[in-house]
Amino acid sequence: MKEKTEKTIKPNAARLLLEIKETCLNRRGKTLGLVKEKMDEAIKSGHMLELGQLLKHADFDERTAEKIRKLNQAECLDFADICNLFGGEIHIKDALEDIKDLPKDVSSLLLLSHVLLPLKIQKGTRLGHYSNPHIGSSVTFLSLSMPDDVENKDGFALAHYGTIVGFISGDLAEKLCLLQARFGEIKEACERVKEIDCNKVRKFVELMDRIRNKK
Amino acid sequence: MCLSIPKKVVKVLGENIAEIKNPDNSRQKIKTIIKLKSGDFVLSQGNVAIQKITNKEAKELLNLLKESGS
Repeated sequence: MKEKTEKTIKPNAARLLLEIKETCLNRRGKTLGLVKEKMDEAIKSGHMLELGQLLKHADFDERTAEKIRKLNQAECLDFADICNLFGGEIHIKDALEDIKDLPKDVSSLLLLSHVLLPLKIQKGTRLGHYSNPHIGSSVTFLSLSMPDDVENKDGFALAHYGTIVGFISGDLAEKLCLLQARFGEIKEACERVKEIDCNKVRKFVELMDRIRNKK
Repeated sequence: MCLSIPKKVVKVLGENIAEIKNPDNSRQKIKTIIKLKSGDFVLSQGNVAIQKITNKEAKELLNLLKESGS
């Protein structure tokens, strides 16, 4: 009988997961510097990482960890799996459940800054455009934060609460756009919100972080 | 997964359950892992109250969000 092996994750997917965790509202002040250093070593060496260990060290809540573990049947999660999770159906449905009772202006902002949308970055600026051809409406993200340690590639950027967490190819961006177009709430949010000031979104995240970690 | 929303407690219905008022004034029952009393403001995550916050903090959080879009 084949021995059951631990699920693994590719280093670049793990890195994306950590960037998402560090920019989320439930980061609880935890600094992931050491975990990220180990991740960078793994990226260089190309070694897969044990998913269970990563989720534990990065302090993911049990609900999220379970969703990541059960993301698919594959033994190893890759970069596209994490993009699909946080830019696709599972994350969008969870967000919609959490924000359903908020005023529309607030829920639209939370939805658009929380779900990983593929953004085309205007060269030499910190402006990003979400222009989903399957929705027909676009949103401009102003003052995006671009961390030095996120590998900057051509293509589309993914932002989480106003901070760029990774870059994806045009093919993957198209897949995410198709997934996102299936949700009328995203289209409605794009029609309601034309511009998002990411500086203010990050202030919201920082205030939430201070409140969550106050003694 | 990574959303926390400020809400106001209007009634405590039991040790682990409370009725809260959402920012749109609708009401709902949520589970709680902390001791609450009516009038408290809380952060909720996935329909669970996880932390008490002040009225000022709740307002500040919602205002910052509202200001970030146009």
